[in-house]
Amino acid sequence: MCARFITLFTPFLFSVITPLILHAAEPTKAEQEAFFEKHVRPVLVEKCQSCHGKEKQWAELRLDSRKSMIKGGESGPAIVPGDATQSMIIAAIRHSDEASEMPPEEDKLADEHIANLTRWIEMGAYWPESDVVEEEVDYFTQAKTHWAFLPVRKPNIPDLPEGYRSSNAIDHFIARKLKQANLKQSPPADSRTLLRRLSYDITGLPAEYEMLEGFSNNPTKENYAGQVDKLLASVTYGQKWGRYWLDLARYADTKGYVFQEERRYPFSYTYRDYVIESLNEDLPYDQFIREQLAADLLPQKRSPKALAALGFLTVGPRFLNRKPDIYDDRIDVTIRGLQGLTIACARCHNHKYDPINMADYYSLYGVFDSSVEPSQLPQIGEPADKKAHAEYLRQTEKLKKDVVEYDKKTAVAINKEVRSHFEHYLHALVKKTGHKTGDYKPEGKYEIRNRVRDQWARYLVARKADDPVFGILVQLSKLKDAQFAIKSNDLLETVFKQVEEGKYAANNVLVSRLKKNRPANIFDLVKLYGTLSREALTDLQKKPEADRAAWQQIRQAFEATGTPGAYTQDDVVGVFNNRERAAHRNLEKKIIALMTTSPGSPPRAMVLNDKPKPVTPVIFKRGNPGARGEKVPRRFLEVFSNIRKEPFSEKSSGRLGLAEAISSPDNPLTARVLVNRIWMQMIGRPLVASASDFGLRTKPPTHPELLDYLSAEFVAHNWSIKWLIREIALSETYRQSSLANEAGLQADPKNSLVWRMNRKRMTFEGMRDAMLSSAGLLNTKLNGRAEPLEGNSPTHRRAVYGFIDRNNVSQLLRTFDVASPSVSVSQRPHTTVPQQALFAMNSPFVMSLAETITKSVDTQKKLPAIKQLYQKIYRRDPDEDETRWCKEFIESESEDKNAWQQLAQALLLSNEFMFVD
Amino acid sequence: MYDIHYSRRNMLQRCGMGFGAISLATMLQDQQAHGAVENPMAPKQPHFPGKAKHVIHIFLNGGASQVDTFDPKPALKKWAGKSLAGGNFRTERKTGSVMDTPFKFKKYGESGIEVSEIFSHLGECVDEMSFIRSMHTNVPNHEPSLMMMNCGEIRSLRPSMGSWVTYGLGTENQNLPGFIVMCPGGMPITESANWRSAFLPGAYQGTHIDTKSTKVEDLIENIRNPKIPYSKQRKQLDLMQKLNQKHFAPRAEDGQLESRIQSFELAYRMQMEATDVFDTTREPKHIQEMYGKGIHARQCLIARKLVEKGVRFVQLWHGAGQPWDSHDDLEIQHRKLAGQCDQPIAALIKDLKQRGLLDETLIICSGEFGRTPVVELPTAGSNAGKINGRDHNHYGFTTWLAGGGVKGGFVHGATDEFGFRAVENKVHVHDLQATIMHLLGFDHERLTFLYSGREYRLTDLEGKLVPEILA
Repeated sequence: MCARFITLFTPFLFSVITPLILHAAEPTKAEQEAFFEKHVRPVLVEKCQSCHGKEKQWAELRLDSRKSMIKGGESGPAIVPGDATQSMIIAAIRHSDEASEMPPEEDKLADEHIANLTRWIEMGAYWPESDVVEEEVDYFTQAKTHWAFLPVRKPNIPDLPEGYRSSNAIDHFIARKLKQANLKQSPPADSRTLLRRLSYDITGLPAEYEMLEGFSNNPTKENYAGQVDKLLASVTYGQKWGRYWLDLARYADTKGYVFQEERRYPFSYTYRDYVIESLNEDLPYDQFIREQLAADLLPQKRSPKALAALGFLTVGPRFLNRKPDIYDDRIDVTIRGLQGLTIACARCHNHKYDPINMADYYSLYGVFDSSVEPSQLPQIGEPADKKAHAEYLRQTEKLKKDVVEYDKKTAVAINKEVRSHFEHYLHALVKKTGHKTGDYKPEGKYEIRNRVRDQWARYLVARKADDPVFGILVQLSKLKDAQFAIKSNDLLETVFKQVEEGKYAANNVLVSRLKKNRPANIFDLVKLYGTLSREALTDLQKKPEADRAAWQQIRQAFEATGTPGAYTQDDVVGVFNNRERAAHRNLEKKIIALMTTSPGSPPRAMVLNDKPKPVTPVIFKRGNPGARGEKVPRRFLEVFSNIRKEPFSEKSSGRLGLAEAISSPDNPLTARVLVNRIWMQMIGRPLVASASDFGLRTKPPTHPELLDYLSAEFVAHNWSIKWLIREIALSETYRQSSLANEAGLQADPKNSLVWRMNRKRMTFEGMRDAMLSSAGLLNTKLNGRAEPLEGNSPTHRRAVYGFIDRNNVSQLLRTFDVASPSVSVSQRPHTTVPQQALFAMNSPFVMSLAETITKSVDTQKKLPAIKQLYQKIYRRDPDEDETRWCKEFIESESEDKNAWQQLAQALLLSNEFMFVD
Repeated sequence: MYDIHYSRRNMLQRCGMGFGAISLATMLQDQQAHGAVENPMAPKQPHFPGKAKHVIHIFLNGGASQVDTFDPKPALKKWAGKSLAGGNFRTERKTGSVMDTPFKFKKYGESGIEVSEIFSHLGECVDEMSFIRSMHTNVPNHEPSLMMMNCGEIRSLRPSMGSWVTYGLGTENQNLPGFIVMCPGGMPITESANWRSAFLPGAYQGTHIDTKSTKVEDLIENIRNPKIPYSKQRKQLDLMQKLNQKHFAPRAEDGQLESRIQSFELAYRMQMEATDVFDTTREPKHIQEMYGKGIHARQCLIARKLVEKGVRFVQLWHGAGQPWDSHDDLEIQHRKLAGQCDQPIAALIKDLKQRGLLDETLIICSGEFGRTPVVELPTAGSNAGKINGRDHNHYGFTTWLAGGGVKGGFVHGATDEFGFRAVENKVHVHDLQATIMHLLGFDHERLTFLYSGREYRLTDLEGKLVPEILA
């Protein structure tokens, strides 16, 4: 290659470069520049920069500035100006180094281009100074002034401008901005609208007709505050807000795609129940975080039930058990879910927009790699039904026995199979070590088990030279093919002599066979041992009495504990072939299935524990676990070294340290991110548009001081989420009407200044719960296993208790924008598609609810019946028009016995039912 | 502004009559002008006018063997039973010596492109088809390769191609789902991940239809009311829309209320249109005969009808699981499988052509990878050990395209002498996807979605257009 290169290079030199050389002077700047622009830049742009440029930096290498070329990439500098032979890029483009041939294969540069680049480097790698070099942005410097990374400071509460209503500080912040934009607050919502809104926002359920009546008769501020407290105290509060947290925690009841194993998580529900219960108890948010990351490590444990909090980390997708992907999921849910930062890209390269580098990612990787799920999850409660529990234990025992029985039975079969095919294993081994002379094909078709072969290899290597049966084999197998004929005889003679002298107690039968039949090559020895192994398995009583002891010894050698072919039920699983493994797993799966479905299976927490020895992580270059880079300590994100700089404890995984850093009052993101999300849920629009990305590119909040005020107060109020929701609910801002006015629409059509309340469309869960509630069927019971939302017997429990299969989230749920449980979601999309309407119009579920509602109404008396339907569905009385329309509908369908049902359904389908003003 | 609201109210007053008077396009433009677009399926313009308006993606799942179908290799005969010099490339399982194809190849059409006897009907269409014989992908395993072919990425969560296309283009017929996936008997492996919308809104997820059933109510969820006939349902909806109108009057600025009002009208019409489109028995006899008998005939005929009705992306799977995965009995299996779909697919091409739809409909057909030209050796507990099948092969396989702006009678790229590995004009799955997007009018690098802090696209950081196959 090199020779060809030179011959091509030489004439070319004369044609183009010669003038420079002839002048015997340094080429002028102008000449250098001309050469660069004509012969170098085009090649770099066209052939290199698509992979090593501004957009992409394969192998961390950029070839779009002199500086970046000198800096180089993963394997070092790309160029050494003035020295082409030392410049790695030249070796790469010449394809002279197999490890890095670039551009690859047929895209190899033309020889002419190679020559030009070589020449350019030799000349000093000139690059025009006029080039605007895009400096690599230092995100860490930028981070120092980024609003979201600055400490939360409680701002002064501004004065309330004249003409604005106020209940608390929130209104001061909001009113000031409205005033600046010359906008007015909207009038307060009427009392029914307000309470309906409040009820939906806090409990996810429509307020009852009587409750609305009562409140609208006496809608005082005190009464309203009383309603807020009452709703917050209801367990239905935790069910509504728990659903939101479960979106953030990418909760589902299955692992995602699996091959053979049980797909369902038997105990995902214990995490869901933990979330709902913690919210209902108003567990301080910092504690809520600590428990979800490190409940097992907290010095003071609240209750055994709190262990279920770790489901936050473990209910994620399982990626066919690929560890790097599982840890990636856990890193993402922790950092995006709790910190509102995107970190996943640092798996393969430093973040392109944020101060997050690969070292950050892999230090967290180390935290999760130092944690392990125990094979037996801790029980955190008693089964409700003692009898069922006893039955569960009995059945489990039986199923476990089935597995043991299968393994036992299969071990016997495999032992027999392996022992009777020793020749095949030995043959495979000898062949694998490179021996060729005398090779043959052992008799009989047999597929060896690779693991067994490898165990034989290790077993034989560990035999000493004086092993009575295998010693000779071990010694002779060390001879190379060429030496065998020359040396084996001498070696054997020495052995025989030692035997005679009583120095080596070799097996008699073996020795006499060897004497009779000297092996000419190693494969002869394989045959000989093969024969011995088979004969030793026959009835030894038929052997001459004198030899029996020796035969016994051979048999013993093959049956001793630790010998491949002496498997027990405990270690046989490792040598199973695919079919046996599938059978074994199917039996195991039954145990998990029983655990998942039996009413007697007690609740367990999906915990993580620390590994006995924490792992020191390394950076995986380009995210490839095979390309191990430098070691990194397990520590918190570098950009927040002001919160915690020192690495996590050397004795533990670091989950506790991580939990402490995130739940620290000094962490600038934790409170801000949560406050923004709760504001978004209550008001219908976030203060910070991207609720899971508070990075450098994120625009400041619409109301920065308000966000900081609420964040500071939230922490000061012992991280109480209920306090925060109450504060928002009590504000005049929240209590505004949602009706638009022209001035507002003109000045701020998106309502980012909150000059009115935002109208909300119910979520799928809200809609389903509300429909069941109108039919009087809704079951608000707490806790327990997931139940089907669809199918023949859909649950009447709240939708938060519905079963969700991660890999096949049903068409229905996806159609209604239910969060995809593959990743943490803080904002669901809002789409309107006809399939949503089809569900409302045609699904047996909605139809049967309409029927139930109708049955509870006396349809003989039309007007009262219409009124009752309105009260059950809209929670109000119909007006004259509405009564007339409904009556006309019923009368025009008087032939149809289902007319009332159709009327009830029409009400359920309408916008009034689906939207919250 | 209020004038416009007034006129929109007028329009809504016609709800009861089912929006007949106003074209959908006007309605949607009106919506867009007010920044209230909530219908994710509204038709959108691509970056530049694309040749293809619709896609039919035929998936020979399990991995059809290229050397037995569309990539003839005479060298196999000569080398049959012998080992390849230099050894076999590593695939999923152990492989042995060269196995000749049991099928005969024949030249077809003016282009004289050779096709295996098991696809003799398709052979008649070669002058409409572009064969990329130099496809390759990353790994020889089903799951990751399915993800690559559908979502452009092996491991991470990415939306499927159909989701990207409907995200970019919307769909022309609001009365039908924009992205329909048909698979007889259940789902392929990795299941609905193959047509997931991932981080794109759920509306872009493919609508999965088990075509084993012929009843429309089994095909699309809730497509037909089990009790209420259309005429009565119309009355019910009229009442509901009257109530909606009253509710809407003081809230007329709210686009989401309006969208939901419309969605019921669309749903109402979808019931009829879907019932019609999935019923192949109403097609003229000669058309039914052209497609032949069986599920695949019905599937292909439905695909044509869907495209005709303006559905954007249709994916046809051969069957549940991985039917084309012929580790054993390749001859029997491949003959049987091709026998099921050869005539229907050929009919689909011809039928689209005779209706003038082929030019705007891109058909893509391949497996997730190909198969080895060498025989698969037995692995205990894995295959039947018959030594007459082929292993997975990601080094080289064939994808063919037809219509939608690709050349007819054209072969691009080549595998080595044995059909093991793509060697000439190699085309990675990313490149195929970039080309598909181009045919639809997209610069694949610019159709992106902001998620988790960065812009994602179908081809992620890869993808090079294959200009050679463009007509």
